[in-house]
Order: sequence, then structure tokens, then C-alpha cells
Amino acid sequence: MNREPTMPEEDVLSAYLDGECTDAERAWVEDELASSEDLRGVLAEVAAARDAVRALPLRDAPPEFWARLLASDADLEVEVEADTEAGAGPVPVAAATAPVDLGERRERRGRGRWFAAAAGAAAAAMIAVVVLVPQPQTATPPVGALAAAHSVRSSLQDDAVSTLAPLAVAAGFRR
Amino acid sequence: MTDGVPTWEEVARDKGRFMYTVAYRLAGNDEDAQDLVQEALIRVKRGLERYEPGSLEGWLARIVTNVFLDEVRRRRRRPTHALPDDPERVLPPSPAADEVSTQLSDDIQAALAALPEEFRVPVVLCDVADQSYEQIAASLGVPVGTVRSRLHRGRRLLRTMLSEGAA
Repeated sequence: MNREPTMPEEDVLSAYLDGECTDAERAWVEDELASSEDLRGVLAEVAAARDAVRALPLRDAPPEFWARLLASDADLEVEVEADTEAGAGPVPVAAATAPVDLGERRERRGRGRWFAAAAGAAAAAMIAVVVLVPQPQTATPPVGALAAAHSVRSSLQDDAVSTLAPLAVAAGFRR
Repeated sequence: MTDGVPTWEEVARDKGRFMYTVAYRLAGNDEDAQDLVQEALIRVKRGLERYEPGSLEGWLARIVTNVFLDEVRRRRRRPTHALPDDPERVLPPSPAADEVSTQLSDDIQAALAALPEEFRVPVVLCDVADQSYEQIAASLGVPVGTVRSRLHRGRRLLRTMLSEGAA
């Protein structure tokens, strides 16, 4: 029984352009192109779209993006560890299956920057306090008074050891 | 590089522009492209230990694509965010735009970004990342025939949009 060969779908034209069709499909396309102006028109349109996208230039991020990214390698390390601890685990080729929330990550990066700024400001304030505010250099613990109070209190209790704790705290050196 | 496996720094330095191009063609704007690349590089860092030398660009394109598709799914769940294929997000005048960009390439990029992502992704993977149908099918988890069909329909849609834009 003779059967008409099945006509390939039109998408064979893209496969033809990309060298992704079978020999039989290629032969069919070339036969048809020789006789069908319509098919030549479709092929020309598909080829034009394909060429247009392929002609698009390489695109690059602003230089500061790469500088920031490479400089923040440690931050990325932290994020990798955080993701791994969160159960994402090492991801090889298949990678990219764990859903991500780029908005959340962007927010996290923003928070990180805020925390860094706040921490920096706090550190600067502490340095200023230590350096600029005159501090008394003598230690004057009121040991005598505290010992007297302690001795009064401890004499009223059976457990002498436990009563040493408030004394120890209160007798801390004051600068 | 040891045993054909690049370091993370080498990937970022040598393939960063390739990754960014794929990300930009998928996302349609610089802000999203930067987020995609950063997330992709985190995944690269996690995956490098198990990377088997082969098509590095194929591996990277696959990771960028998966990050992109994850983001598309996430934004669909939260429709208050604009989807990447929102035409209004396609043509931001970017100070970082490549000087080589012309009005024509802007028009093509706009048409590309306006394609539904089911067509845009195979077009970008084939015509920007230069992946084979088999590689694209593996990346997307669909049969090769589906890749072929979507790629062709994507190109036809693209051509129609470009023609209408020029008219």
C-alpha cells in the first residue's frame, strides 16, 4: 500500500535554518522551496527574525555592577551558606530548580547595606565617646560599705555563699 | 582552573558578559538582568563543585534561564509586580546601554521582550545563547519537538511584531 509521505509541520523551516532537521525533512523543504513561493516567503520571514535576534549586540552590565559583585564575594559566600543551611544544598547542572525570590534577595541586600551603615555609625559613635569624652582614671569601689552591708545581710541568712553574688555585682569597678 | 573546572571568579570574569546578555534578553531591562545574574552566580558557586567539564556556556545559560523562569513564576503568584514582558518595562533609557545599541536593536529587543516567555525563552537560548534544540529541551524539561514548535512560533510572532512596528 502506497502512503503519501506526511507533510512536516511548518516548524520544520526553523529546524531547517538551524540545521536541526532530519535528512528527509531537509529534502522535503528543498523540494518544496523550489516550487512554493508561499513557503519561500515564510522561510524568509523566519530567517529575518532569526537573523535579527542573532545580530543583537552583546550586552554588559555597568562596570560598577561587576566591581560590586566581585568585591562582595564574601557576601555571596554568606548567601550561599545561608541558602545551603536553609536546605537548598549544593546544586549542580540541574541547578536552578529551587524557586527564588529576587525581590526578597534584593531586599536582603538592602537590609545588609542598612545594617552595615548602622553598625558603622554605631562604631564611630563609640569611638567618639571613648576618645573625646574625658573619663575618670581612678577606680573607687565602695568596698568597705558593701562589705559592711553584706556582712549584715549574710548574718541574717543561712546560705552565706549565695549572698556573695549581689556583692560581687555591686562591687564592680566603676571608672 | 583545575581539571577544566573554572573557578567562580573565572566564570564571573570570563563569562559574565555572556550571562548578562542572556539575562538581559530574557528580562528586558537592566535592573532585572543584574538580579538574575547575581542570583545565577550564587547558584554557580553552589554548583561548581559538581560541575562536569562540558559546555560551560550551556550550563550557565541553563542556570540563568532557570533563575528567570523562577522569577516569572514568582511574579505570577504576586501579580502586583510587573511581568518582565510588560512592554512599558522594555525600553527604559538606560545610562548603561551599550553604545553600539541602535534604534533597530532597541526595536528588536522590545519585540523580543513582548513575546510570551514560552516563546521568548527558546528564541533567546537558540539565537542568543547558541544552544542546540537538545540542550534547550533539557534546560526546559520539554521534548525537542516542543522546542522546535515554540521556537518557530516565537520567530513568526517576532517577525509580525517587527513588521507592525515598522509600519
